[in-house]
Formats: sequence, C-alpha cells, structure tokens
Amino acid sequence: MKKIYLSTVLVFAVLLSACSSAATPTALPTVSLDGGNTTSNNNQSDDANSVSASAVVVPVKDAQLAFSAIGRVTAVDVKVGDKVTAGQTLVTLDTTILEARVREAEANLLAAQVDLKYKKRLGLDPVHLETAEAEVARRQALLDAANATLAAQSKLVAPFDGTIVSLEIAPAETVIPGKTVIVLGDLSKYKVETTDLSERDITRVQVGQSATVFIEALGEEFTGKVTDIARTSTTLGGDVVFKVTIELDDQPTGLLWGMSADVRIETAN
Amino acid sequence: MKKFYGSVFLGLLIVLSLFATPVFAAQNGSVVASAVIVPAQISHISFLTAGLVKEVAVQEGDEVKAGQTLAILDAPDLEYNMVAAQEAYRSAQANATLQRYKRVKDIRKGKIFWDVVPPEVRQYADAQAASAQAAMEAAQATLAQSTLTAPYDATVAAVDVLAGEYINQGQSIITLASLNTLQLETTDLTERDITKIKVGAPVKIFIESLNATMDGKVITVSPIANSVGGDIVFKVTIAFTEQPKGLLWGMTAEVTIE
Repeated sequence: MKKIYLSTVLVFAVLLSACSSAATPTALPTVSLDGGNTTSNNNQSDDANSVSASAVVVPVKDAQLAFSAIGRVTAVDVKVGDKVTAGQTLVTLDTTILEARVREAEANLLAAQVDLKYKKRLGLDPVHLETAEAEVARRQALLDAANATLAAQSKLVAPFDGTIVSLEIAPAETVIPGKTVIVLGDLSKYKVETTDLSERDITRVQVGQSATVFIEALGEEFTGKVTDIARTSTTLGGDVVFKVTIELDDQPTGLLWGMSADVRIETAN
Repeated sequence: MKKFYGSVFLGLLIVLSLFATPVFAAQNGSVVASAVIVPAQISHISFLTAGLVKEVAVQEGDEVKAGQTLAILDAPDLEYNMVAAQEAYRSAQANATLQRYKRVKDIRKGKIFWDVVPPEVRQYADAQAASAQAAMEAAQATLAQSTLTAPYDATVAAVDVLAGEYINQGQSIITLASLNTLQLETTDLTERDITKIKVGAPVKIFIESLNATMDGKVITVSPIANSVGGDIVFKVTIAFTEQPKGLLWGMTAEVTIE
C-alpha cells in the first residue's frame, strides 16, 4: 500500500509541475504595468544629467460640462466618440415652462406699452407719464431676464471644437446643477503629465528642457519639451510630487487619453 | 491497484482541464478580453421637485411605451396653482371680450347714447389675457412635471420607490433600459491592446452562461482610460450581429476582437 501512495503522490507532483510550466505562457493576457511603485526618487534617475518619471497622456484642452439649473433632458444629440464643433448643441432640456414665462413677460410688456400710449394720447400730466414709462422699462427688463434664463437653461453647447469623451446623461433624466454630464476634450493634441516626479528631483527640472517620452502602448519613444511645472505639490502615497507638463514635438497617431508613459527629462546644461 | 489508477485518472483530468481553458488566447493578431452585457440605453428617471410619491404606476419588468405614466408626485399646491391660473385666464378673457362691445352711456327719452371704448383699453385687455394665458400654460407645465412618463419604449429595470415615500429633488427612482438592444462592454482591455482595435472590427463573443459563441462588431472605443485596480483599461463597446435569446443584463462574456 505504501508504494501505491508514494506513486500517487509522485504522479501528482509530476503532473502539477508539468501543468504549471505549460499553463503559464498561454494564460489569458493580464495587466502587469509597473506604474505605482516606480517612484523616481533613486531607482530611475541614477543619471545625474536626467530625471525620469512616470507620466500620463492627457489632451491639451478639456472641459467638464454641466448645467447651471435643474431640468429635464429631452434629447441627447451626441454619443461618446462624436466630434463636435464650437457652438453645437449637445444636450437639450425641456423648456415648456421657461417658454411660457417668456410669452407672459412679452404680453406684460405689451400691456405696459399700450398703457403708456393711451396716457400720452389723453395728455396726462408728466408725473403719470413718468410712472407709465418706468413700468414699460421694468417689464422690458423682466422680459430680457426671462429670455436670458431660457437661453441659459435650454441646452448645453460645445465651448470649443472637440470629441465627446464621456457622457453621463440620457433622455428623460434630471440634470443636477453643477454635476458633470459631458466631458469634452480637444483630442487633436495631447500632452504628457508626470505623476510621480518627487520634490527631490523637481529642482533640476526647468521649463524648456528637452525630454524623451516612451509611450508604452505604442512601444515607441518621442521627443518633447517641458512646458510647465506645477506651482504646488500633490501627494502620491506619502511622497510629495510635482506635476511636470511635457508637450510632444510631433503628435503620434493612436494616442488615447489616460495612456501611460515614461519620461526622461534632460537636466544637464 | 484500483486506487492507483483512479488517482492517475484524476491527475490527468486536472491537467486536461487546465490545458483546455487557454485555447482562447492562442490566436494571433486578435485581442481577448472580458466583457459584460449592458443595455444600449439606460435612463435613471427622477422628479424635478422633492415631495411625497402619490402613485407608482409600473413594476420591475414591465414593458412601457413612450409617453406612458411611470409615477405621480403628490402636488396639491401645483394643482391649486393650476386651477387659480385657469380662472385668472378665464376672467382676463371675459374682460377682453367685454371691451369689444360699445357701452351704453345713457338712455334719455328712448334715445341711446354710446360710450366708445378707446382702442388702447381694448389692446390692454387683450395683452392681459395673453399674459394670463401664458401664466396658465406655465402652471400647466409645472403641474405636468409631477408626472413622470417614459421617454421611449423600454423595460422597467428597477423601481426604487413606494407610493407614500418622500423623495428628494433629482433622486433616481425608476431605471428604464432598452433590453431589446443589449450590447457588450469590455472590462479589462489594457492600453497595450487598445491600439490594435478599430471601430468596425469583427468580434467573436463567447457567452459563458449560454455556452454559445456568436458574432458581433466593435461600435465604439472609449477615448479615455479608466483605472481599474491600478490597471489602465479602455472600454470597448461591441454590438451583436444578432442578439441571442435568454441574454440578461450583467452576464459575462469573453470577446475575441480581430
């Protein structure tokens, strides 16, 4: 019996070792990015002439769009990935009430104008005319206000040419003031922002220094220049880091917002 | 000896099962990812004002048509406002109509003396009637906001409110989804693979729960990354060529994008 047990154990051991070596290379692709633990403090910037850091690809221009008042969505005219031009309507709200308020203000203005005309024709004394004139001016202002409210709360328009990056709204939903419903980005031009450049290295970095940027997703290296250094720090897992912005000399195709990159800034002069 | 053979057989089974799964990833030039089934359109419906819910007209799973009532908010003040505005309009209208007639100023010895209404008075009354009408329409629209209706033909995916409950402004109470058009969203497609994926690319979809493979194609590639547990992933949306039966929102799938 002992022999049998022994051989069983042996068979298992052999089989297990066999499958572990066989299964690893063909496993489903999983992510193994080195982001996060590669702080630039010591391990990357051994070179005295350069500073290395992890970075992320972001568009040069982006905006988080929101409504300023509560309202009901009647139509969402765009979808994620759509290219839009400045002034284009993105989301339309129900404006039945606001339109009625404008009509009410228009009618009120007309009544005041008629009243003034009548009093002038009757030749009333200046005091009465002045009151009537003031009333016309007041109602004109109310109409202007109603029109402005309608214009401001009826739709969301694109502030610049760009691409719809995210869409957090659907027809019949309620928009909450200040809550982002659309993220718009000008995806024609990207820049790179460092995420883990420590305070120890930041003193050596200056605007105008050249940098090489390795985009992991594309597997290629590009050149660029430091265009901005954050004026205030952020913390990353206990480290004090500063955001450095690098603009690429040429825009590679295939870049997407959020891709990771490794940058090396040449600090030697 | 029987035991020995049994254990060998068991060992072989384990090995075979381990070899069987990774077949998916073995194809060249394609990208494999996990995906989840989601409706093409989802709306989280809420009231514009806070208040007590008077009636919930639908249940989870109901098919609703565009314009169908979903829920009603108890809003007596809006109803009174509406009635008041209606009566104000009727009164203004009657006043305007009155100004159209000549008035009798005096009757002396069977002779009628007319008092002509100046045109401005008529116009003024007309303008006031128009104003009252617009105010009534505004009150009507405000009252209409206390009834939620379906914006398009859909299925009620969730109802998170009971009649009599107090709800806040903008609080989502009913979720509508177009369950007739389900699609897939990838959950773990990394930045390394995203560059290979083009809109329109054919996709093989394996639905685990249905144990079936079907065709689809890429309809959108998210322009922005999400961070999932430290990984940078991009969401790719895939439409079915033909939607299979028995598919449910939230089911998982393996997709192989060419």
